[in-house]
Amino acid sequence: MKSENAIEVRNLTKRYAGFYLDHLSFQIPKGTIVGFVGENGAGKSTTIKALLGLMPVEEGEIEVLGHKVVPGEQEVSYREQVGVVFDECNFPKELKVQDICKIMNNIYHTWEEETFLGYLMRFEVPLEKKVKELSKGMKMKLSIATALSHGSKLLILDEATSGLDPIVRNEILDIFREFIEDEQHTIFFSSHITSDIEKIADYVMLIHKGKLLLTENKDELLYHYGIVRCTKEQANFIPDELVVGKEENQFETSVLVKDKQLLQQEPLVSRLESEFKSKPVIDKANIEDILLYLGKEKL
Amino acid sequence: MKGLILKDLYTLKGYGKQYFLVFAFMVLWAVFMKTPGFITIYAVMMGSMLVVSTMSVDESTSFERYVLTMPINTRTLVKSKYILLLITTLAGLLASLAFYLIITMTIIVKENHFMPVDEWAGVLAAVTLFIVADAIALPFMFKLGAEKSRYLYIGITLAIALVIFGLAKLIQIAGGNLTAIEAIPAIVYSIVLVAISVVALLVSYAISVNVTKNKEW
Repeated sequence: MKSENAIEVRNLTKRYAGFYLDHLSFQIPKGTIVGFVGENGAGKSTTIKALLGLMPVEEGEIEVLGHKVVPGEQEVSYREQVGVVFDECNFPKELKVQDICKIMNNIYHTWEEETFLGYLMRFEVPLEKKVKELSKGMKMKLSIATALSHGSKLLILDEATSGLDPIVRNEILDIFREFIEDEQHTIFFSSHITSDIEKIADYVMLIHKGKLLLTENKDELLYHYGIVRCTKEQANFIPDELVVGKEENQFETSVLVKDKQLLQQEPLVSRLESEFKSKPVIDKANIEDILLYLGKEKL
Repeated sequence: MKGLILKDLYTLKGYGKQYFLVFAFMVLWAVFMKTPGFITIYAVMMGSMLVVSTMSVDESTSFERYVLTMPINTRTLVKSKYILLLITTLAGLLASLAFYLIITMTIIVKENHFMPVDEWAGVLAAVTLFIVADAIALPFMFKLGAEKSRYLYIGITLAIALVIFGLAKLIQIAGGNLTAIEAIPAIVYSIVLVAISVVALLVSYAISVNVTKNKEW
């Protein structure tokens, strides 16, 4: 039976001096956009390198599009359907854009020259220019055009929008939305720009210091999580099972709760109202807040 | 494979002006010094070093990591560099013969035949020297990266030249006769040098494939 997951990872473990990718397990269902969020050095790029078979790992199993990934393996035809974009353009600077089309035509059996040229026209990337003459945004668009021009079913993007201005980032996110219109297409998208993840992801995976903190549906996450702003004493009345993290300063205590709706239902709401002398102030939590609170809690 | 070699050739073409200027300077030098043999060896050296340049470019842009996310395995990646080495060294050899011909026929006009056997032997020895140097350096480049191994490459070339020079001196000191080498028929001499190059490349390729198998890219 064919797997319904584009990516399956079980117990992925990798050790470096001072860093430990700790038994990561997750699945990325086909037809979804999954945002992989974490601070710099959290383990996002290491995880992606492992998914791509670019490094040996101590432990764990990885399947990409039903193919068991083994570092250094010789059978790599499944990669025809995997488009990858890193945080920088990896083409030699002296290459002309038109050369890249010819090169890719000789690397991918599934290369679609017309698709590539179409993207370049849309992105206004000139064919006759050398890579070194392109702006950073243009270079990223070139990499994305390449990733989308060989019948990819899975896009793996490692900080692909980092360092780009909001307008270019938006254009690129639009392209990803178009790509995902085909329900067999999947995007695994790492970034520390959480606003990009909020805009396009269906699911969010948070990683911190090599540990996967949570994997949740983005809309549910944003709907349920909230930040209660109160005093230290009031914070003690919030049930522990709802508290994800706390931040205290001399003026107030803020508490990240995993289900703000529960705090607004009886019997909790009456109890809190009597303690707070009014209705507690509960703000929406965004992904960045959740990452910050969770990260602090796990320190 | 073809795509990788095309990428390297297009990249080298991008640096074509720089290579052309350096080469033109060397040609002028050879003409003024009336040493056509110099430019033949220089052309071969330049050809064999181009593979090192492409690996430096790959490293500076993390191209190898990128291309290994495509339907290219490590064996193909390694093989492409060895084939490029053969292509560029052969191109260097052909260029050297062409320039030798032009220089001797048009400027120096000292010979009425294409290339004397002793000079041909020198060119072939240079080809072997640079191929063996590349063969030793390439596994290090795959293992440690091109930039770290650049000085190693120069060191290896010098070391091989010193070893040959040292051996010749030792033979002389021991009372041996170096001119005996000249007595070796050109065809035998050529076959031996080609065989050394082929064996060095095959061993080197096997080591490079092995060191890239478990490499972190």
